[in-house]
Amino acid sequence: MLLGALLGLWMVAAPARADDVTVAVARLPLPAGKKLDWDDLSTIKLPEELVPPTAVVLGADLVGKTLSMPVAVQSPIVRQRLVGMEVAPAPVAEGPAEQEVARELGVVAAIVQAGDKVGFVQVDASPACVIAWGEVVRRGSPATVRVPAYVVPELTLADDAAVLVPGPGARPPALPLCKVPPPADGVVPGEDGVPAEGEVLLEGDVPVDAEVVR
Amino acid sequence: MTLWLLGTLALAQSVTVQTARIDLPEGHVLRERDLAEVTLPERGLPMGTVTDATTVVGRTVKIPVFAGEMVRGEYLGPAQTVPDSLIPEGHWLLPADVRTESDETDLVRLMPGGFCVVARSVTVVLADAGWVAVPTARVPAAVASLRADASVRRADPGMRDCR
Repeated sequence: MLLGALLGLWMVAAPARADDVTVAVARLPLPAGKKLDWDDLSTIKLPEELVPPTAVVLGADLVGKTLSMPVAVQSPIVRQRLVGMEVAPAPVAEGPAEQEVARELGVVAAIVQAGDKVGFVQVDASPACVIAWGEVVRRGSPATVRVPAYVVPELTLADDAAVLVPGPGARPPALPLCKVPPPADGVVPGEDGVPAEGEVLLEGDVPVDAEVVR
Repeated sequence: MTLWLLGTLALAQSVTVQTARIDLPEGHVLRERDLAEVTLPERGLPMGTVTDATTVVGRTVKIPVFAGEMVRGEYLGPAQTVPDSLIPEGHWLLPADVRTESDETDLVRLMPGGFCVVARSVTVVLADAGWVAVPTARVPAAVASLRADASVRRADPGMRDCR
């Protein structure tokens, strides 16, 4: 009888994993504009993979802060949802520094979304070449696109560059990269997965996975 | 024994939770590639989390979701057409001079010896604005013709390919 009760209790209890993290979460759905106090929060254990990198894990760091947008129940609260909490730029791991640039994409802005890869092509060059491959961060007019920092001056000058947008499952086309000045950060194109000038871009070469630098 | 078996099963059961792979701004239409799956024991599942990607793909982001956050139904609005579904699989969208209303079109170029075909079977995506989808293999040739006298129209039977 006692054994059965113990086993039943074991079944009900949430099994904690070794890599679980105790994190402050919203105890109830919280609206934008709410100034957080202890009654709004509880703690739960979550696998590390479910704790966003920008989550504020300690309740003490949340109390007194104001929400800039709603938070769902039992969700960790990320810095971006708090008024006046800046998100520190992610450290640059490998490859060239990246930069976000505003770019008018014309009507195609209605088709692209955050996460889409786009190419900017210098069509009056001979042969036509790719100034930059980038990733859309925010759609809109202008859209915000993340590109390698060393191509930003060239891209800024080439305001008539044609935009290429891939459909689902499209491999990168075999287009040469335009000649660009050497990057100031010392990362030489051709290393770290970035094609060198004149190099043909092949499948898997699109250099869009480096960390963000704002 | 039965309880022991049930307890073991309870421990073994796991679920997949959908999280945001990137920052998803308001108005974004969710695609499968925007999501990352995290597996955890079912009993540790926070209430309201989305487990099945197919239930949220196509829905619009109503409240921004940030990279690594669990995707929650409260943050999502109604379903919409995913914008890039307008582009055929394996094609690239690029600007071109569209001079046809036909669905069966090709990108042709006027050369000194007459017209030749830059890319066959291109898809007109935005006719008025002049955007067409071209198979990946023909993108370099199509790009090279953008500033030349190239246009999207139906190639005449027997028209040769451009070199």
